[in-house]
Amino acid sequence: MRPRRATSEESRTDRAANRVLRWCDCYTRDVDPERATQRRSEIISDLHEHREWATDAGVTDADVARQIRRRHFAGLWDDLSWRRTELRARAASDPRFAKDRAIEISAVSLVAALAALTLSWGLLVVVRVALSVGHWAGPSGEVYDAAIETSVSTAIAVIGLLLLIRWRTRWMGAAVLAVALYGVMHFGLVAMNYASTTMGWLQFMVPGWQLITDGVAVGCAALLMAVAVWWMPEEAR
Amino acid sequence: MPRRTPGKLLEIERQILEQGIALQAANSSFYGFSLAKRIAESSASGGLTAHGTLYKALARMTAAGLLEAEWEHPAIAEGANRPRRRLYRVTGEGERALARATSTIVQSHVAARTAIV
Repeated sequence: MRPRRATSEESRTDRAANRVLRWCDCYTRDVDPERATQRRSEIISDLHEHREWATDAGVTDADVARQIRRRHFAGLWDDLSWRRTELRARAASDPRFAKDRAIEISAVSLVAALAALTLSWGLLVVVRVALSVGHWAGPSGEVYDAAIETSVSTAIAVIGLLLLIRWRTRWMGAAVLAVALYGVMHFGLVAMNYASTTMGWLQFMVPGWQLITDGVAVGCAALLMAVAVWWMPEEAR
Repeated sequence: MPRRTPGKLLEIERQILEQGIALQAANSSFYGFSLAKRIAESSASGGLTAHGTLYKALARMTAAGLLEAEWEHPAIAEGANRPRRRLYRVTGEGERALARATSTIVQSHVAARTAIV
């Protein structure tokens, strides 16, 4: 019994049960395969028995679906807590898994930090430029262009962030974020050179400022690309 | 989550042992949903125990030796045209743990009544 996409013919109970199974697939990921299969089989049996009992008791489709949803949501915390215990147990007994897990946690932390940096910097630039319209001395067309390019890059970063949320598309999210990060850093700095006195001063005083900032942006984007390749599923390679 | 005292049963564990013993007296063993239903019938709220709470507790209690578990024979499940059930039984250790928990509750009630008198 695999979770399926909802169709119009499916009952509310079908949809609620499929949601439970999809969630089960999520929290049993990377858990010891035998333990994961066991948990999934128990949930499948429970959902079946629940429906059989509801049919015999004459409970309506809407009420069974509500009961299943309530049991699902009320147990989310315990599912996550069970997952944490299982992953710790697996890591304690399997050094290779522990190493892979440590790398995975580092990769997720890195991507999360770079995503936060990209979005914060992009929003800061857009707000800063908007607030300083008419106050800078210089070619305003270049500032507007850079601000628009930063806005577009920030929007791309949001798309990347949305792709990162889903396990299957997270590699695409990291790749999209790499492009967005470079755009936000590069164009954002161009815009800020005009909109911010400090940034303008840094560009003027620090030799090779543009080269340094571009180097940092390329480095961060390369890290994201490396994570994207590492996360890419076999079938996509 | 509060840190639990070693040897002390959580409320869900006490319910599982209590209702599990009642179910296995009638059917020799019990499975997840039968237990959830029985707990719901015996509790004031009447709601079925959440999937996560129930199966996490069952796994923990099996690991602690309070329950023993085995998968139903595939032929039985196929014959009944349903997924296999994981069948549980309360062990001797589980029965002793429940007896200890019950006596602790009784003692605390007696102590409370004495203090009031």
